[in-house]
Amino acid sequence: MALGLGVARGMLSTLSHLAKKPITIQYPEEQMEMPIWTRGRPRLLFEVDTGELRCTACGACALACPVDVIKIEQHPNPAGKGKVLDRFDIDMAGCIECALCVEACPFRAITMAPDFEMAAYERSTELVFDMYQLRLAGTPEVDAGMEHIQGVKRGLKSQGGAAAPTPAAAKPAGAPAPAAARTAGPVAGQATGATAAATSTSATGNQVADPKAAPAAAVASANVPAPAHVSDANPAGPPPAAAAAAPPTDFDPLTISDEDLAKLPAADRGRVYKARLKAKGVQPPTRP
Amino acid sequence: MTDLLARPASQSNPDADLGDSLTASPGMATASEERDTLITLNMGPQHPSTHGVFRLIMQLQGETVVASTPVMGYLHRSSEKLGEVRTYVQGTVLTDRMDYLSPITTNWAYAMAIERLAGLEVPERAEFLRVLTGELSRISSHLVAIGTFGQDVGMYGTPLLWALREREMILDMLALVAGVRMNPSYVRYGGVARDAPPEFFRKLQEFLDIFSSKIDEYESVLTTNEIFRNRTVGIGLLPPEIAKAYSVTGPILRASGVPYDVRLAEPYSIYNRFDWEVPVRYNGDCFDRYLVRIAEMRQSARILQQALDGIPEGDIRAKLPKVLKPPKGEAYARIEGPKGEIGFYLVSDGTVNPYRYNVRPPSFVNLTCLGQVAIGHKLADAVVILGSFDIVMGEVDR
Ligand code: SF4
Ligand code: SF4
Repeated sequence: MALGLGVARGMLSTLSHLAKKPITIQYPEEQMEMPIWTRGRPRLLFEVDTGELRCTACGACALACPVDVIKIEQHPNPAGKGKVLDRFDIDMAGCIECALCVEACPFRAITMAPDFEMAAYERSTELVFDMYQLRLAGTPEVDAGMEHIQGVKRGLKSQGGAAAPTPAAAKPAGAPAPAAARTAGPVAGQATGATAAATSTSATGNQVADPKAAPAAAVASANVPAPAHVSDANPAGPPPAAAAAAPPTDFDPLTISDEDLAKLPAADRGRVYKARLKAKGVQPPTRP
Repeated sequence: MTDLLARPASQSNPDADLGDSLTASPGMATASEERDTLITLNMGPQHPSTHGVFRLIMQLQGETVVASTPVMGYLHRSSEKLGEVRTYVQGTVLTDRMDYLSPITTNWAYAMAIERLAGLEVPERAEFLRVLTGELSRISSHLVAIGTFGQDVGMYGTPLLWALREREMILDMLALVAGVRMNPSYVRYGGVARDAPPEFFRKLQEFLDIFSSKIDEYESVLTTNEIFRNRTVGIGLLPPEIAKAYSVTGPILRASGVPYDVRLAEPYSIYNRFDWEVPVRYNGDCFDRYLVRIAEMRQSARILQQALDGIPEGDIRAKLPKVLKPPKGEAYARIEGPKGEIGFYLVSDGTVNPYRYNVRPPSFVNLTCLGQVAIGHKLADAVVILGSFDIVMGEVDR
């Protein structure tokens, strides 16, 4: 068959692209825009004011890693409780950047930064990063990215929870509350049990900005209300990223207002009450 | 594979069933002449048109394929065994690496199997996010399928690059929800891993606004193009009986006139709430497979728009124990992936690892009938047929 109308039409379509701007990005001169929570190389966070790594050497991340590239060595702290981190190596030749370590960390100590340019000549040495090379300041912006990467673990931080917490949601096997009690164990050196339970509260408590709001703010035009958020549950409210109407997902049990407290799911409320009691010096009743 | 071993590539004497296909092929010389001129051709494992490391052993009479044997396994990473020694959440990252062009659908099938095993309920918003990301993945997978199919037919560049242009938008959106463009591990048991930022919904609406005109653009260079039609219409006929006999699923089956789609046959998630259709074509040739994919992209865009309008607020993950230990038992879950039915069969022995982690990969099952379909066609058409099957070797070999 001769070249017919269809081919001509296709050529027209192709030709119409001559006038259009190319969409190619001239990497490396131009860089792609990447959200702050891009999963790149894992990094260890340190507190901006003290310069100390948040990591408590608990090893949860090493356990969670599906390819076993995190190597941790620690010794018990001679001057008290807890452990001292001696070595924290990540072998980037093996890391698959799956973020399971970030999700596993109960102390907000590890995150992933959008750095991916790690070409090296030597696999066994140049690609193994130690705890000094992995340091990254835990600024509010970075923390926000970390919050997003951590995502929702085990349904503890119900995010958009404007919808009242339904009892049905708590039904599936295993209660989250005992889990929280378990994590309270190794923390003792640095944080109260309650802080550890609300995994989203900084170990030193200096993190007051609402980190849930920030990942959205980090994106250029976060203030455009997404269609999804124009729901009845949140009629006049600002975009829920600002999270005014939703119960706070990241709260300090000691300073939370009664108004916010009322919106919390029952399990979280219980934790707040326990923390308040503890701050007053009253021992919460232990489970039989 | 056994077939291959039984007939070494060097052997020039075709066996009985080869003889049958010889006599069935039109335009052949006499039998003795055929035997003398039969040549064995290895296509692959590293050949640009095999879409990965895949080897096709073909016996040719002149330029006509008289027998072909697919050889798989070059990309085998023993994902199923690895899944058995990893916890349930760690198993998710293995599913990413099966169908790497549409990882979210494989994540989804795996998550559904675990949910059946452990009796978890998925919150409403999570179901919507699954549908949103899953349909986006389906579109992006079909875009690559159509683009590379154009490449196989001989339209270098244009369709592929146009398709990748839109796929780029999708990957950018996935980067917003999952943090990465490939291997997102986004769908987890009990829901999804992360909530979507508002920016995602805005970009999605932007994408949906232009996408249908972009499909028209692909069609303007492919569907109406006479050369493309000459190369694909009537090529690689797969009758419905043979398709069913080989358990073929996905767009290939629907192009053969069987309206089977797991989303409709066994509705899962929230698909029964949306208004959409299953595109079916009846000729079962390469052109129809392409058309079914085009139509499916339009339907996916339809589902996306409805899901975007209807997504509720709420939890995105069920309440879960810290370490998931499903009760003893077994579960099978299947979903409609872009390439066909993805099935996951998990057996739990009550510990943190699955006792058995078994996958039904659509590409693998679909590929088994390639040998049958390619017979009688020219060598260049075999490439087109393989392209129309839209396989991903990561999934075939696991
Ligand atoms: S990102 Fe994944 S592979 Fe890399 S160190 Fe963390 S858990 Fe391991
Ligand atoms: S889980 Fe967090 S605190 Fe524990 S060792 Fe890893 S980085 Fe450190």
